[in-house]
Amino acid sequence: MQVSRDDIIFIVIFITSLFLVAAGAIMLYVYAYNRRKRAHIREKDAMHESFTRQLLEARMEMQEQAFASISEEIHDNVGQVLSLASVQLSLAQSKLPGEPLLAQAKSNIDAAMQDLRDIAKSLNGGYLQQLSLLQFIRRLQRRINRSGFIRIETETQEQESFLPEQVKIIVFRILQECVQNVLKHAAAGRILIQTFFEARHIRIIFEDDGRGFNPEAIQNADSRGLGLQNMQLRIGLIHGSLNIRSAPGKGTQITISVPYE
Amino acid sequence: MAVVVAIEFTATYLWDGLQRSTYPLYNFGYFPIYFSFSSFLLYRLCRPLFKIQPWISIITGLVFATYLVENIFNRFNALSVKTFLLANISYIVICCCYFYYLLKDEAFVDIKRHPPFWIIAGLLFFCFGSTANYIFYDILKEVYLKYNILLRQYLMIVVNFLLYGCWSYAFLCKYQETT
Repeated sequence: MQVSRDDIIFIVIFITSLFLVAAGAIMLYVYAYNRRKRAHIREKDAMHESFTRQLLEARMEMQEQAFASISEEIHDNVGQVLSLASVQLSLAQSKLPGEPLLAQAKSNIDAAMQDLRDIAKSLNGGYLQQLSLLQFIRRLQRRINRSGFIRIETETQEQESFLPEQVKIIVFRILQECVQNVLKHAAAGRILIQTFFEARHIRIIFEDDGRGFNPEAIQNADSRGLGLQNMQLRIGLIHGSLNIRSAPGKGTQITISVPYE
Repeated sequence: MAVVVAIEFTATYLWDGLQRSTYPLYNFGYFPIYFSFSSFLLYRLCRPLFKIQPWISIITGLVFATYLVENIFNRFNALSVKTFLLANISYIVICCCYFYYLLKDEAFVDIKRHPPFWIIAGLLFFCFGSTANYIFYDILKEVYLKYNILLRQYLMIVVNFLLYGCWSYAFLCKYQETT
């Protein structure tokens, strides 16, 4: 059978086109599959994020419960014993007036009771929720300055904006963690807490003049950066941000930014 | 690309100017460069995704053997069509493997902006298009000799356009990545 010239040309062009379409179809399939893969990865990430969030919330709830029960124990048991000791010392003072040792012991007991009350309050989430951010910072300042080891200074705006209770407790715990870190590791003499109430968020700058550290090295170390990681996770829960600037020998500056909603 | 252009100009000069066969030029000039460059390219791009070295070794061995046998059989006086075909089919398989492992990989890459993807895509288009061309090599040769229609050349222009289009886009992606 004789095939015409046009037929040959048509067949060759048709089959070549078919081959090219096959290559194009492979590419389209890869593209479509890749899009599905991206959607799947996003879904997986969202699930992972949600799981981490729930886990963190549960941990925080448990921590708050533990703090509350410790606070109650301090108030009901140790506090009661110290109150009783204070009353007994008052009685002893009335029987032995002018005894300087008794006056000194009573003063020490009263100071211990005051410290314990402050610790119990700072552990009690229910009580903290009644405070505003500035009241909390001032209480923290008073309590730490009384110890005499380190000095906290504050710079705040007069006009205070209020935060929701759940957000407030997380910010307070982060500030407590910051102070704990300075006391444990920084060997600092001074802490400065600045608070700015801006249009959409609150910005808190927490800085110390301690020995400082390398933030990257700490975060890469498995267990040593756990406190910082927890702070990052907690701030993530309230859609805020936490930036750490530090270098060995140059102190540390932590900027916390929290949106109102 | 410069090498390909140089070979094409030499072939035109040999055919039009000296009226001499261009087969030795394509067999001993173009093919080794095309094969080694494409193999190297596939080796570099596929290596992060899967173990390609054994496959490249096997393909090189097979293609080299076919190349020798075909040239001896043709007495070095015809284009090594079967060798080109074998190389192209092997490259198509490797390109498909690349896509498979790219999709299987846990990490997501945005293929629209992924240079290796476009390099492989260009090669896949080229191999598919030129495979069809080599399958019909005798018919296309007859079409040229009988009717003086350069159909093979036109088809090669189309597949080369696709190849260099994809590669140019890959270089644009790479440029965007680095800036």
